[in-house]
Amino acid sequence: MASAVTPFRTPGTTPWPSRRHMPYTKTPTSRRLTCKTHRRFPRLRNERLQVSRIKELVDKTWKVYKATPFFNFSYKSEGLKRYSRHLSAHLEAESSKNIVDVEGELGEHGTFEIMNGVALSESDVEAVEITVKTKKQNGNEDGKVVLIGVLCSVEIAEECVIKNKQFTNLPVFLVKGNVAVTRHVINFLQAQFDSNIIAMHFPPMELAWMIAMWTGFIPDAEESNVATSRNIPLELVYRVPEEIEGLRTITMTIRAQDAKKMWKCVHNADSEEFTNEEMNSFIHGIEQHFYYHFKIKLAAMSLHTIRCSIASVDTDGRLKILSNTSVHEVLRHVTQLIVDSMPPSICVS
Amino acid sequence: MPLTENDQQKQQASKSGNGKKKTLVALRNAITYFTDARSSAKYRGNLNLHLALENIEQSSRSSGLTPPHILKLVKSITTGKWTEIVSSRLIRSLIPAAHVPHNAVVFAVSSLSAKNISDNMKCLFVRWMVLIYEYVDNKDTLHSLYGILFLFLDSDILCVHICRLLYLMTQRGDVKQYRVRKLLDIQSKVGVQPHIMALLSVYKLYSPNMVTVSSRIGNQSYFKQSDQKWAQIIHLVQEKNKRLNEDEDEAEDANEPSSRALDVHQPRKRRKLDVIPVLETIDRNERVPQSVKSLRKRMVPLEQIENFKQLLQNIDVVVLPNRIASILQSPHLYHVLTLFPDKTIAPRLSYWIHVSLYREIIAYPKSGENPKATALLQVITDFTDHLQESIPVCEWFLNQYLHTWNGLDYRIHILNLITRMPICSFEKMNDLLLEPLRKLYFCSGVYFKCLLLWCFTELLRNLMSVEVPRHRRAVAKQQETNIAESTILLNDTIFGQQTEQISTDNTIVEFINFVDNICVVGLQVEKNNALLMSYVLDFFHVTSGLYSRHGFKFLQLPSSPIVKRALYGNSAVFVSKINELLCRYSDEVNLMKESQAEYVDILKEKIPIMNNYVLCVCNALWQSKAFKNAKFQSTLSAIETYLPSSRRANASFSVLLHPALQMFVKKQQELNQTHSTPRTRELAILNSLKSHDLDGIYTFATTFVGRYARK
Repeated sequence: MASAVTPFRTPGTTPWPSRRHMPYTKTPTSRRLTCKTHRRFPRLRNERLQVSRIKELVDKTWKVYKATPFFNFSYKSEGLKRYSRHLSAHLEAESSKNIVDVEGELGEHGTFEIMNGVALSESDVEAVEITVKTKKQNGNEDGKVVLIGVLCSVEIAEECVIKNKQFTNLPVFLVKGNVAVTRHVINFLQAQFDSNIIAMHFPPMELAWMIAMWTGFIPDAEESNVATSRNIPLELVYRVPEEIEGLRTITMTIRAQDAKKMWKCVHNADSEEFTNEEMNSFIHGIEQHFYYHFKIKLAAMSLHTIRCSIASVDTDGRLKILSNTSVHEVLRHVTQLIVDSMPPSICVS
Repeated sequence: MPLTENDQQKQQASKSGNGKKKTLVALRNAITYFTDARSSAKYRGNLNLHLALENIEQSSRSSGLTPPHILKLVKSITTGKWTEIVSSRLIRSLIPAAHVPHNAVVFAVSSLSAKNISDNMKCLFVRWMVLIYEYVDNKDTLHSLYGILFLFLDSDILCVHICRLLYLMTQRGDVKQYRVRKLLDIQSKVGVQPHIMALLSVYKLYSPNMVTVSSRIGNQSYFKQSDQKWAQIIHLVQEKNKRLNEDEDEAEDANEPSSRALDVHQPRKRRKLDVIPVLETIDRNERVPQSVKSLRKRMVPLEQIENFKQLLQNIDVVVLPNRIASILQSPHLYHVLTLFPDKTIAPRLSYWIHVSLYREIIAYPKSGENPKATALLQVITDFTDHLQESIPVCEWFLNQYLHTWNGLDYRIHILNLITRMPICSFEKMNDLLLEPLRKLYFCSGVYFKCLLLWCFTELLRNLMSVEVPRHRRAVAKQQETNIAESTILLNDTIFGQQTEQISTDNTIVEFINFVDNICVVGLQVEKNNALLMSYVLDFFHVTSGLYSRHGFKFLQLPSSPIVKRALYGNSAVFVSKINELLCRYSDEVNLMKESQAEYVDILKEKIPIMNNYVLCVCNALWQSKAFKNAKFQSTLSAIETYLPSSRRANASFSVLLHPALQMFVKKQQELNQTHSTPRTRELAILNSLKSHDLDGIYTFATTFVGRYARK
């Protein structure tokens, strides 16, 4: 029950602890499920998957960052080489800080490379992979990989394409690596390309959207052969309000095939769009089910993590893609989310 | 005969002049004592020595010593004649009045290798050199001793202070391989010491290839703060003398800009807390052909520019920094931005502002205010002030943020940003801006209501004086070029905003109506709060100049509850203000009437309302017919039945009986009983009000009331 509304606000208090999980942009009434390019050229899709390095993105826990467009980024090989050199120098300078009397052995070197096959439509620019390795220890073996970062954009909306050639729009920055090195790499990118990179947070509302949409990609029981699909159930982790002692989270797990069945009932099979109502009824269905058994209203708690055989995402911006075939769909959605959170009309003439 | 003031001053002046002369003579005598070879060096029981020493200490502490005096004293100390106590006291009083002669320092350095001087004295000399290093008049001479000073590193006692001195002196040419080796040798002997690390770090700065050792020792500072008191005294004396000099040649200095006009070189600690990126320019293209390189040589990166004068001289060859946002560090650098024709600056800056606002305000994990965000908002406000245009990203941010704003966080900054919003259609403005603010207005206290009204007043002022003219210019330009588009590009802005085709007049009218409405309800809720009323009337003060000051072709009158609440309230200020306001409006109407016939429709509509207000005031204040209107008949009879004593209810708001004006009336009556007729009394009161700066009533009377009309 809501407490009586006081006419004046008490100073220093807000009804919410933090703004970062609030949906700050208007959620659209419907969202696209699949990639346009895949629809148009279905045969190309498998080939693309075979050739491209997209598999390297799978089964890694990425931290998602959003990046504003890069200024004066060059795709030429000499440009990339130069960035690699600069990044290495920067890392060396940074790593020599704070550590006394180390003669350059801890130095790392970074490389910039183009990652083929991540970009899909014509509006996308090629993805860029940044790798940081420690220096070779004994000559023969390669150094240890300290960080992998992937800058990409997948099927970015036409109206968000920046026409000015001096800008390169790679809004999604996936990073897996050491915290300190990540910070250094981000600082480097910010200084070098006048970009601004910040951690992405997914509000619970967006997580609900994701799980509802991606359940549709789970292969049906008869289609899936044992080799390709892993039997990962649908999992929703809710965070319990702090007032309740002794319980931090509630995890709800549903068999993947059951969820798929439910999804089919909810979604209009002819449409490529997934509407707000469909999303609501899907999540509502799950929460109703839980209420029926445990008498706990999940809707009153905040969704913290979702996991299904496609991907696993949490509010703090950690993303792990689990399915080979749906990488593009997942990244497309993340691109869309990031672009939506950017101001619409920074006009570049 | 008593002295006149002038005489006294003269005497004092001559006294102080005499005093100065006396001290100078005494100082000279004291110094001659030390320079004279015949004087005794005995410390105990030597009154002359003690007097001379005290004299030197006193005068050096108050005004410092001149270069010849310093030279004489240093020479005297280096003879080794004096005992340790005397020497150390002398060294401590070597405080320069303005600067230190370089040969005095050379003498001091030469004493370091002398046998007849104790190690403690040598140490004290080096410490003194560290302190006065920046005041040495010819540093080159001193610098030529670098190699010699370096040799003293071997001395365990001197090592720390020599390191510090060398740390100050080191130039690029001094970094030699053998010196680095020497330092590393010492380090291997005594272990990692902060002072040696300091020197190594300077070397590394100049030639990183020679020093491979990392020179970081965490957050610890390299040198301990020793000799703070001494340094402070030297600093104080310098400041004092500088001030004296400044007073003398102030006229000369007036044209010199301060050396740190561009405060972009901040200490590291502050930079860490700063939201704005550091100013740095990295060469983007390394391999450049020679011909281009020679051209580029002339280009000056911003971090090399130290003051505004230099900026002006180099404005055409300045290179933009890597992170464009670093320009926001100093208001002087804003000019660079406005002068560059580069179209990419605006989007780059916009992205930065957007992300920073998001990071510092929305993604800030704690509740309450983030100090960084406050700083950021301040910078953005300053910047928009400089540009005199709003930044679209900020609008976008505000539109989002206001919906969840609690009216408390960053209050003044947010309100400041709101006042700089551009013009848009009223529907949009209402949805994105006014609706969230309206909600806050009605659930907050009177103070916030006032703030919000102030904000609206400023917003209206800005819209009328800056935004609408800009919009008009853009429309005119578009009509010239005959492009029939629904959007208008505002050309004279940095951020190149686009707006839709809108009727600016409509927005302004609707906006004023909106504020009028919330004012009426606000006054009701707050029971005529004086502060709120003041802000309400301020707002309408601005609206009363719509036509004459800003060329709008319409008239917006305050609604009748506001006029009546001010008129029948119990504050003389507001009675006066509302009178004044009506006079301003009547001037406005007269102007409109005179100019053209096109305003007939507006006037037809507004003049009756206006007349009604004027009549209302006349009836209440001057005609004793406050309740003359048929509407009030019932009220009047009610008052008269319940309060038989107030038989003259109709006259209760006349100038003589108005509750708000009672104070002045009473005073006036006490002062002069002679005013027998009400007419003369009224006149006296009018004059009294005028003398209290409440001339609104007087102006009104001379404008509208026949008997006082200006002839």
